[in-house]
Amino acid sequence: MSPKSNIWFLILLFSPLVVIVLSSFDTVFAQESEEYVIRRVEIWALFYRLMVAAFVVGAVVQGAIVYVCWRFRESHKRNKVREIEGV
Amino acid sequence: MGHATIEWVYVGVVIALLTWVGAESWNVERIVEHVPAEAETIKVTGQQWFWTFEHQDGKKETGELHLKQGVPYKFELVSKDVIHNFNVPDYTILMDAVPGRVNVVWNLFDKPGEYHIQCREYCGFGHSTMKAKLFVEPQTVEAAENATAAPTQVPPAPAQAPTQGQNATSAAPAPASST
Repeated sequence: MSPKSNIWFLILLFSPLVVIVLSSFDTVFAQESEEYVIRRVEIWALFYRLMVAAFVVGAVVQGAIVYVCWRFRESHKRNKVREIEGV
Repeated sequence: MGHATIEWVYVGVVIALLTWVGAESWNVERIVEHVPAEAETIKVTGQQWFWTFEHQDGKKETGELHLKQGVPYKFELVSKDVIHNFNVPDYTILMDAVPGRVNVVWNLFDKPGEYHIQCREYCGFGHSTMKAKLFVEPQTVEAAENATAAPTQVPPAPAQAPTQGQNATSAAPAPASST
């Protein structure tokens, strides 16, 4: 991978997590502007944020596994048979 | 062939993710644990196999709890025998009642209605029946009528003719409910 494609890859990977983190600030400020914090709103909002993060991480891991399996399959053009050393 | 960079990125991402999860959780816990000074105290006693409640003014209730909408309440949970757990699912309240200890949880009930209270820590044979009812009463009679009524307007009391600038919520007594 070239450095430029690395950067884009990392931006694509981290942008959902950054959006989640930034959106949590709005939630906190919205709650703090009222007189009292509503417990269930805070807790459910945290739950949704963590679930989104968990599913994003799961998707990334699954995507990485799929890519590795596809890239290193036997029939891939760039996978040439190499000589085994010492034999 | 080495992949040191990408491996360190992977380690960094995992550490950052776990730090973020921990920080978010700690922050929400800090926010919801801060009890308002003006919260009214309700002493909640769990015992096999029912709940009793004592209000700040000394009023006691067994098996049901009447609270007001929009008022912060602080629950002091105690147990007379084994560990119980005070749970109001609709308001995400979940806190153990441990013998020899007072646990505190507070909440503001923003929607009037009838809700369930249940025990969420196995406490013996009657655990599944250790329930109570929570009644959140509306702040005003007008709010009660708005919560239950069809869209018909309540006629003003005949003694008070509406005048310009008169506040709709000011002191005229509301007519009694017909239900």
